[in-house]
Formats: sequence, C-alpha cells, structure tokens
Amino acid sequence: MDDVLVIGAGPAGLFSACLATQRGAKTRVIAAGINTTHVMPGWLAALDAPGDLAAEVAKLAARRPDHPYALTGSAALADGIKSLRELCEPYGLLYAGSLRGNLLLPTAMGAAIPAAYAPLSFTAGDLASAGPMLIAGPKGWRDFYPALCAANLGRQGHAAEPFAFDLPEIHAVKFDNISTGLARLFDQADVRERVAAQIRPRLNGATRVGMPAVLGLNDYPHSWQHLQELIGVPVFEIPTLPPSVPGMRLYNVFKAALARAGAQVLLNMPVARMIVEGERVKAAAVSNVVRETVYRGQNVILATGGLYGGGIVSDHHGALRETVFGLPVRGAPETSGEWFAERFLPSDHPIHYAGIAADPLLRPVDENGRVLYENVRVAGRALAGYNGPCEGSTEGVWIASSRRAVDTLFA
Amino acid sequence: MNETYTPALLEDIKRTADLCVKCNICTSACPVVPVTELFPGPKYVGPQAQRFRDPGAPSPDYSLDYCSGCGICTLVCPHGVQVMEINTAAKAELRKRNLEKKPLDPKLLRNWLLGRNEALGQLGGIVAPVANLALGIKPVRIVMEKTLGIHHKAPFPRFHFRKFRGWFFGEHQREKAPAPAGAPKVAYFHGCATNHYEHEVGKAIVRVLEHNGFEVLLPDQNCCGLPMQSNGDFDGARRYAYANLKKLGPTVEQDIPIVVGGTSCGLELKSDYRELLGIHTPEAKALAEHVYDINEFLWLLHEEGRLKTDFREQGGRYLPYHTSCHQKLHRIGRPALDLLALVPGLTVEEQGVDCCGITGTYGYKSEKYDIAQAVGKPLFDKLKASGASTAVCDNETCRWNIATSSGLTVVHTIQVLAEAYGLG
Repeated sequence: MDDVLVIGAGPAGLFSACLATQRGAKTRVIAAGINTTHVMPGWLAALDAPGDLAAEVAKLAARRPDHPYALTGSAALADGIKSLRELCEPYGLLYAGSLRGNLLLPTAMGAAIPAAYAPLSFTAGDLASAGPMLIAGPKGWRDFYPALCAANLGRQGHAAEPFAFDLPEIHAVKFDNISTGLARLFDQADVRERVAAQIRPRLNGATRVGMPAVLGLNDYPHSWQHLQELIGVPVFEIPTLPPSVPGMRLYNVFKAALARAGAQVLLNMPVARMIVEGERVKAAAVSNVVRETVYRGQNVILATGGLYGGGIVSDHHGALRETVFGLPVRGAPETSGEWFAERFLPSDHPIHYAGIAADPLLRPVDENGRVLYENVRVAGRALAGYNGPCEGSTEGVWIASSRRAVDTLFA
Repeated sequence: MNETYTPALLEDIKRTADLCVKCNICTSACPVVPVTELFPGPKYVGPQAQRFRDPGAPSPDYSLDYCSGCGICTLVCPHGVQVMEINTAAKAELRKRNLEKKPLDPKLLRNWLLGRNEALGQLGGIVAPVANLALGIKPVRIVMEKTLGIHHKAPFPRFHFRKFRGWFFGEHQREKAPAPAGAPKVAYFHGCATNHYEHEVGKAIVRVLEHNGFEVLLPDQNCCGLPMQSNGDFDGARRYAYANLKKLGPTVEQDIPIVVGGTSCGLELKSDYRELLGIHTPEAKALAEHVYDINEFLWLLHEEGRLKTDFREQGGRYLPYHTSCHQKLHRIGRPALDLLALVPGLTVEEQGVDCCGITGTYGYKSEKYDIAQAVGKPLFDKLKASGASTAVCDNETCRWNIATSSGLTVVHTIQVLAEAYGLG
C-alpha cells in the first residue's frame, strides 16, 4: 500500500510526486506515458499582468473564486516555485526571475511572452533590456528560422539581426532532425567550438545572442555555459517546436529525484478504473492484456491533464469526460456555436476553462459543490476555471496546485 | 467505471498508427537514435511509415531493421500508439521480401539460427565441453562473425550437458520434502535459457514456490517462439506457439496458474501469441489468462497476505537493479522492486537506464553489436561505478549482456529472494 498514488506523469504529476516523497511518503506514479513536459516552452509563467505578480494573483483570485489560484491561495504559488527551484538546483537546472514582475521572452516566431521565471539560459533574452540581439540558428533546420524570428522582433522595436550558421551534421543524415538530436550535438565540445567560431565575427555590435533551445541535454548547463564563454556575450535560448529540450531537462530532474527517493514511475499504465468505497478511493486499477494490476493507496493525486494532456476527452458531439474517475467536467462549451467561437487560441474560448471543479483542499466536487472523494487531490491542467494560454498562468497553476495538493494531504 | 476510449477498430495494433500526433516523444526517448545514424527513430519507421505500407505495394522500409525492438517508444507514448509492435509486424514483411529477393543471404541464415535457441541449446549441450571451448576461442568467434555475422564479442552463455528438467525430475524429486496434502499447485514455464544454461534460476524459482507451500509442476513445453518472432519468422513462431498451446492445455484446463521466470517468454505467452502472431483462439486466451510473471505472482500472493516473509536480515546489502524492457511491456509495474523491498537490510536501486542494448538477439549481430554496446554503456558505466559485485535483472539475455559488459555477476530477483529465505 502506497501513501500517495499519483496518476499522471506530466509536470503536475511528477512535481507533486517529488513533493510527496519530500514528506517521507511512499509514492508511486502511474501514467499513460510521458506528457506535457516534452511540449512545454521551458519558462514558468504565473500570470500575464503588469507589476507585482503576487498582488495581481491575489486580485485575480478575489475576482474569480473558482480560479485555481483562488483555491490554492497565492502562498502556494510562491512556496511551489521555491520548492521547484530547490528541487532543480542540485541538478544544475537553475531558474531566475521573481514574482515582482515578469520577464518578457521571445518565441521562435519573434513574439514576446511574459513569464515570472525562466531557466538561467533564457534570461538574457529579456526584451525589457534594449541590448541588440543576434538571432542565430542552424542553416536548413526546419524548426527554427532566425530571419523570421529577428524580423518579427524588429517590427516590435527590438533590435535583432538574423544569422544562419552551418552545422553539417544535420545534413549528413538523410532523416529529419528534431530538437533532441540537435541538443545532443550541442553536448559535444567540437560542435560548440565550430558554431561559436561562425557566430563571433557576425556579432556586429550585438550584445547578446538568441539561439533555439537546444544548447545541451545531458551535459546542460555546461554545454550552454561553454558556448556562451566561446562566443563572449550572453547567449539565451528560445523555445522551439516540440519536443521541448528545456522540458526534457525538467523531466530528467523529476525522474532522477524520484529514483533517488525510491518512487517508481510507471509508464504505459493508463488507469482503467478506480476502486472506491464510499467517499474514499482505495486503489487504482490498470488493465493489461490478461488482468488488472491494482495499486492500493492511502491518497490519490489526480494529475492527468486537461484536453491536451488526455485527462479529459471529448466525443465528436463535444461532450467532455474525465478519463479516470468519470468525474463531472465543469465549463464545457454547451452549444456547437460556443465550440466554434471566432478564434480559438487568443480568445476566451470556453474549452480552456473546462475541467474538474474542486474545493479549497483541491478535492473534486460535484455540481453542488459536495466533495466527492475526500482522499483525492486534483492538480494541474485537470482543474477547471482558468485559461492557461491566455492568462499566462499555465505553469503557475501546476506549480501552485501541486504544492497545495501535497500540503493539504500532509496538513 | 469507465470503458476504454479506444474504439474497437483501433485495437488492431497497426491501426494505432492513427493515434499518432507526431510529438516525437518516442524519438526523443528511443535509445538507438542517439547512437547511430542508421535509424531515424520510432516515429518514422513506426506510425509514419505505416501509412505507406500498402499490402500490394513495395514497402519504404530501409532502416526498420535497425529498430532493436526494446519497446521504449510504446512505453512513453501518451497517445496509445503501439510503435514497437507496428515495427515488429513490419519486420516480418521485410523478412519475407528479403527472402524472396536474396534467399542465400548469410544474414538471413544467421537470423534463422538465432531464432532457434532451443535447438542450439540442445545441440550445444550434447557437445557442451567442445561448444564452450570453441565459443571461448577468439579465432573460432572471428570465423563465426565472418561467415554468419554473429559478433565475436557477443555474450554467449555456457552450454550444459544436463538440463534443468533433469535436475527437477531427478535429484529434486528424490530430495525435496513431499508436498503437504492439499497444497495449491503451480506450473512452471522455465523457457530454453533456464533449461539449457541457467539452472540456478529455475532451482531458485522452484524452491521459493515450494517454500511458500506450493506443489510445483513442470509441464511439457517448448521454446515460446519469441526469438523467431523477433527475427521476423512469424510462421516458425506460430508453430512453436501452437505446440505450447497443446502442451500447456491440460494445465490450463485444470485451472493451474503458470509462472514464467523470463520476462520475454512471459510476454510472448501472455500477449504476443494473440496480439502479434494473431492466434485469436479460445485456447490462446485461456493460456494467457493463466500466465504470470514470477515476480507478479509472488507480489499478488503478498497482496493476499500469503507470501512468507521469513527473510534473513541482509545487513545493509546493496544491489543495483535493471528493469528489462520486456518486463515493462507486461504492464504489471515493478513487482520485483516491491518484493525485494520486503527483505530487511537490503537496499535495491533501480538504475534508471532504459535499455541494456541487447534486446534479445539484436546485439549478437555483427552489424548491430556496436550500437547495442553504445545503448547499454550508461548502464554498464553506472554498474561499474556502483562498487557492487552483483546486480539483478529478470531477463536472461539482458543478464548475459550486462554481466559480460560490466563484469558484475547478474542474477534473477528470485535468486536473491531464495538466498534471503536461506534456501539451498
């Protein structure tokens, strides 16, 4: 019997599991597979708001009592970020920033995204600084176009010049290159030396260099630091198309920390059903080809994600279903007209708010606010009531809710 | 509480290709991709190429053969694509076509031979001293590599003239305490490796089961068929499967559980007969439902409160553990780690390296030996640095590979338990 069964191996699941092991809990993660760590940009966005973020989060929580931040309280966000930084630090994954104000970081398209914290290898890209940039990437790599990125930055008044350098390795194989492969190349000193030698003469007054976020995987942060020393000015990473190398670095930290704590992470184990007695969950059952594998747990953290992560699915009529318990999903678009809202991403499309309603202890509740399972906590994108992409709260919510879920289990 | 969401159509493994969203999580996790440029990754040769595999048209498969079949792609996929299984099915097609094109290719003969480890064990056993001597001589291995393409450094186990079954039906029956009246029965599928090479694994399994009050039966059996299947010889694998279905039928009919020591043989009986070889008979289903991985069986026994825990204190002993790829594909979690955690004074650490590289017979092949070694290197390095002299792994070819490449002695979980119980 485990103390804590975590369902889901995305950032919320793995982070909650790490926090539970820190409380001395016998913890096990069961999940369908690797998840949104591998598509996340890498920074930690808490809220897209000007000024002091802690105050803005508190204001948002007061305005929207069903928002996850209202349930977790704003202390959970600050405490969660502190825990995450402490967890990552021994592995060399350092985050910089603060809740006093956002960094403004460039994307591969040259857009500017606000984020409270970012890996140290991102922060020289803060667009609040006026330093002219050289945006550099390997010539012929389909996942990052320096000219596109630099031109869009320029249109917003940020001085940026593009440069495409030669990296013959990516043409030596006849197959596609993905970011993971490039990151492994940048783990090699000779690759870094050749790239730096091409970039240095092209600086032309640039005081910083932006490159796709592939500057090392297994040897990160050394790979990034070494490249930066070779080039001689600060080098910052810009997120690429998936798979996300910065997300993989975070996944690897979680994986190593859980292994060290003796917690098993079991993939390819989608939960088929939960075994429930009254208002308590007793166990999770995973089906294999011949029988069920049953894990008994004192407590369960449900971190299966939302519509993107697979914790919530939709049929072709737009009816939403939570996949593990069959919990009620709140906030689904009610008519096809709502589904086909004018714009999907840069709008308050109702689907973004759909999720599982929870009480302030993050226990799932029904339509009347009655607690359904007293030993279950919901963390991450499975929660209802927020629009991560538009609010700029995606990472903040998984961090705060993971911290709150574990805090309330061990209160 | 909730039905599986996958429509019935998608249960056919090839159709799971349609669930792929091309996120490349599998390619990022594949252990072969980082060490060779010959393999583009599971997404490309799996779900992506599957869309071009029209039964009537030539196949686009040039690099598929470099898939090691470890199944980490299937494991990490969050969308339910059975990537490795798609590849295995495509490899069988590839072999068929290669046979038509170049029937005398020595690599096809080599793959034919590697698929017949049962016969190799029989033959090698008859001339065990000569065979062991010959396999220990470098020039012989070089000739084997030149003619057959079996790499001269690939890890071969030692042949034995005597078989495990001989021990069981001979001295063990004479020496063991009689089974108590009404003792529950359990049948043991030992597989080729235990019968021919690793008797100690089989002895430990029999002793641990008997210690827990079972009467152990050893039904007639043959090779599970996996070595042929993974070398693309589905017809040969099916012949073995049907033979086992017949031989194990009476055990199943009597509702006696069948435990398997090797994680690969267990997976073959449980899942591959039906899912990959397409034997959708009531007998295949009934057999699968009676098959348990030995660790799974003992852990379930413990969950029912029936496993003896009279283990001796191990005084702070440390054992590194490697989870074999095929163990993970059982979808039973890590029962070995749960069992070993019951032993007082024993610390077992999962090494967290996905694959040792050998993946059945892949790492024996001259053109793939270096790839397999590079895949396993992080594990070998970690084990060498651990300071331990013994490691634990529950799959036989992984054990031989890890032992050869790391220098550690590698044993099965049940051997550790038998020792902790104080059994012979």
